[in-house]
Amino acid sequence: MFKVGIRNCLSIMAGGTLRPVATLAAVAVSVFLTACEDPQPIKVGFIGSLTGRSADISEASRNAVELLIQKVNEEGGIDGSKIELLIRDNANDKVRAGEMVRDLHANGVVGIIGPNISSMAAGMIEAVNELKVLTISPTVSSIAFVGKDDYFFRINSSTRDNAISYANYINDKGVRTVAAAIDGNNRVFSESWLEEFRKEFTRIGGQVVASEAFDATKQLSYSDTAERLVAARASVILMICNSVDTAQLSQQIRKIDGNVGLIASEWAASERLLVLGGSAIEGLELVQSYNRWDKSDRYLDFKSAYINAFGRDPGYASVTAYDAMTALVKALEIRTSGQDLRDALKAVGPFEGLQQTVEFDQYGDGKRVPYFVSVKNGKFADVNE
Amino acid sequence: MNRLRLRLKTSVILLLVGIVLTAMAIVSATTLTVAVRHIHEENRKEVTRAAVDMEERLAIILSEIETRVRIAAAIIVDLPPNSVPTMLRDVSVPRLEALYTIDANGKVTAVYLGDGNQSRAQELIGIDLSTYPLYVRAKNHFGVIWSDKQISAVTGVVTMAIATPLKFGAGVAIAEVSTDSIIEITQIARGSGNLDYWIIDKNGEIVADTGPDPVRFENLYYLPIVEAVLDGKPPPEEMEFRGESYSVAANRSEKLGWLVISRIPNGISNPRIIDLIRIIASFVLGVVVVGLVLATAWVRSIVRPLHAVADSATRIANSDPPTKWPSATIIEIDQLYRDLQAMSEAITGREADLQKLNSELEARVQQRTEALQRSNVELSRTLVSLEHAKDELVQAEKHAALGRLVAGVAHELATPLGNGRMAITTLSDRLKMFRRSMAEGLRKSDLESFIETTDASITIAEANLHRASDLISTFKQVAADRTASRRRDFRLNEMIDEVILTMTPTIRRHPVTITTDIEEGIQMDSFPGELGQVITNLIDNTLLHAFPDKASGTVTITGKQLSEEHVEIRIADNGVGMTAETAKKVFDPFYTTQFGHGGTGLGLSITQGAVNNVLGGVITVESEKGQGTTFVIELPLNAPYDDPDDKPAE
Repeated sequence: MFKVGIRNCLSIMAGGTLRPVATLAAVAVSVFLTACEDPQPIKVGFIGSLTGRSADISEASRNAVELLIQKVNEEGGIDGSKIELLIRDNANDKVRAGEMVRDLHANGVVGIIGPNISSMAAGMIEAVNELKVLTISPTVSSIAFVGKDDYFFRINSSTRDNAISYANYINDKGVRTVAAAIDGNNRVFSESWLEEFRKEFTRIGGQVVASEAFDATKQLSYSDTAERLVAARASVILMICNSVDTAQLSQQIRKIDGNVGLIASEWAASERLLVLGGSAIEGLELVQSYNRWDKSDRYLDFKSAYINAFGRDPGYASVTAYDAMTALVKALEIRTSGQDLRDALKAVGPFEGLQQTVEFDQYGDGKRVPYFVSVKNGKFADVNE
Repeated sequence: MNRLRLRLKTSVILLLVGIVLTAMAIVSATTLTVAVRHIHEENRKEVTRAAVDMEERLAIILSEIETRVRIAAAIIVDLPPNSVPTMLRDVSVPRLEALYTIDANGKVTAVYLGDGNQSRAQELIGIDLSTYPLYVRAKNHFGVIWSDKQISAVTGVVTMAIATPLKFGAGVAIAEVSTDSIIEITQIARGSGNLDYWIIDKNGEIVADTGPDPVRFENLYYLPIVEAVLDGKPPPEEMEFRGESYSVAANRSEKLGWLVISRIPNGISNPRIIDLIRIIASFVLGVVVVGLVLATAWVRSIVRPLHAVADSATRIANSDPPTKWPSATIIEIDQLYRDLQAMSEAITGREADLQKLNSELEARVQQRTEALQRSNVELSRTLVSLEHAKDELVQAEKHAALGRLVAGVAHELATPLGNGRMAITTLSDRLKMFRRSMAEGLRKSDLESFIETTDASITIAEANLHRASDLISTFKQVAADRTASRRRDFRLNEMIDEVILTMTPTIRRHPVTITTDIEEGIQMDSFPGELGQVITNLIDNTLLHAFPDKASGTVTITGKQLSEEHVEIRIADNGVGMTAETAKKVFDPFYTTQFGHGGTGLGLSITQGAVNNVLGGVITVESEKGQGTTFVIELPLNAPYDDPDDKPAE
């Protein structure tokens, strides 16, 4: 009878234990797995109007946010975790803006920077508060979002602050009558802006003799609006709309009337205004919520990094977005495990932003120093020069 | 911690599966490593080629667009406005959103809008675009210029613009096309497979992304490859993006200044690697399945003889060893069979031995038990004899004590009786002399002398006979007390004086002084015989042991009433004392330090028995070597009654 040693059959089963096999298997399995993985990235969302006629502002904001994130990540991230930016275009549609909040939340963002436009903020606010996702807008200023204890924080001054500055500024220049053009596509901003302006301007003796709403996204025509504004015979035409519309409207106004004074709300204060406005905007005055001639090292470093990366100058939306993202980063840095990011941000307290101290009041509302500029030779110039 | 317990079958199957998996894992890992390197190499080549291809394709398509834009520009400049749309349709610039001309002064001179909005087109005529960067560049440039992604000067949406100078240096024509056109072009040029492209403008803005989850709104300036190409440096070959690793290559479009970046995912995102992993996984699965089937069959052939072994072992355990022993193919199991058989036989042999031993043991136990029973009976009998002997000894001791008493009394009687006899003899002699005198003639002096002598003799005789009589009555009392346990009232001091009196002859033989100090008037209702015996025994004991070698000493007997009911008697000597060891044993029966010298060792035992049982008191001893000994007796004034009925009514 043929006989065979059990060792020959089961050579590995030494001592009746499976441990060596398990060890080998574990080693083999670990071959498939890469040695170590980076810590999970911290996701931050950005929502902006990246395709429409306000794309310049949102792009300016997005660029600044990207710049800061790049800087933070190069310096090792937050506790070793890199920040990953998820960018969403709201396509200038407030419903879509709200959906984007939910989308970003579902993708695990800890906070959102944006939007740039009050009408988009109106579409987002419900989702923001429902999902408790801290959202810091670099530019939104409508009074509709002021004084609300919610998850929506704002860097910018309110329309009230700005409109009062404007009213007093033109009053000091002896202007008594104003005709206003307001963007019908962003009424939450433009109407509240005009209302605050009218209140203050009337109080100090001026008069808003006409107001014209237009919506270039629905009806791409500026000449009718321009004609009606000129017909009001005010000494100044005030445009409360974005840079593209301000440029286009100015073009149409100048075709009819070469003399009427032109003023635009701070919303228009982007480089695109200069590019599209041509000679039509010469002499136009407006507020910029940042000091474009700032010579501080902090700002100059930022500006050169920005130009180096994006091939153009930063705008007011870049400066405020940089401050907004800085606030978010500071909140992430001090946040304790499990803490609500909003509470962490409230605990951050005032800090030095790019150009000024950034401080939120109890409702998460900020304030900027206004700088009046006018267009001279196709460039922004200090009104006092 | 519980150890994992597995059936042999399970463990062998696990083992085989483990071996197969381990082997496959090692083989797969090696294969994958090699294959991945290979695929990686191929990827590198492919992306490099693809970046060039895509740039070339773009260049061709863009040239085509430029040509059409030039034609379109000519149309808008030369033809009347109402025929422009029809003509432009024929030229078919893809995704044309706006076409307009700007004269040398920057004024818009002609406008065509893709959406056909005539009024808007009309109002645009005459506006000033002298600051429009593309116009500024094109005005001073010979040839076509492409803008970056930008907001349209006329429609306000994000587009790309193509500027071409007009004939005669009369300004610039600008055509705006949707960025979607570039996206479409690249999508078409993309082809299938896992190769994807980014088209990125000079500012880092993404114009197109052919990936499955396209990035559209990000500025990618920070990607090392973008930085490198824009700075004219050699681009990296690998790139991390959103946690994925890619093989990348870049090519810069001369016409646009834009970047074409081609990328293929590395690692398991790469479909080829996924395919490879799939093949390996199916192969491993197949091998595991086949291995399982084979293992099951193989295990069965191993397990069957093992079960038979286990079965045999169970039968051995149940004392029912198998009669027929099988053999097995596997050497170890076969050896196990034979060892088991040997073990079984050894167990059977030892069992028989044990049984034999067991039965012998029972018989021996029986014998021992009987012997023990016999010894027990004998011992019981001996015990009874001993008890008897002890009683006899106690009796003998009592008799001896009585004998000593009698001897003492007799000795004491000798003196008065001798004196009495001497007096009577003297009287008798005087009487004979008197009679003779009477016969010879009695003189008055003779008579007086006789009377005087007679008187003295009678007095002496009388006194001594009284003394003898007293002694006897005392003895009678003591003897009566001793011989029969009598209860009566007595005074303690009188009783002790009588006892000492009876002991005088004994005491006199020793140079020992006995002093008594008993409180007068202690009246007891007790057993004077027993108490006397106790005192006698203690004094005897003291005389015998406390003063060896005829040493002189003192024995002091004190008695005092402790309370209304109790009295304490102390018999203290200043003799040699005793050790604590001895003191502990003095009351034990048969304990004696004078064994062989007449001591029975029962004296103090009897004494304690009398104190405890008859007198109802306690006796203790206080002693220290060289410091004398004191016996302390504490007694109730009224001794207890054995039978409560004997107690007189009060």
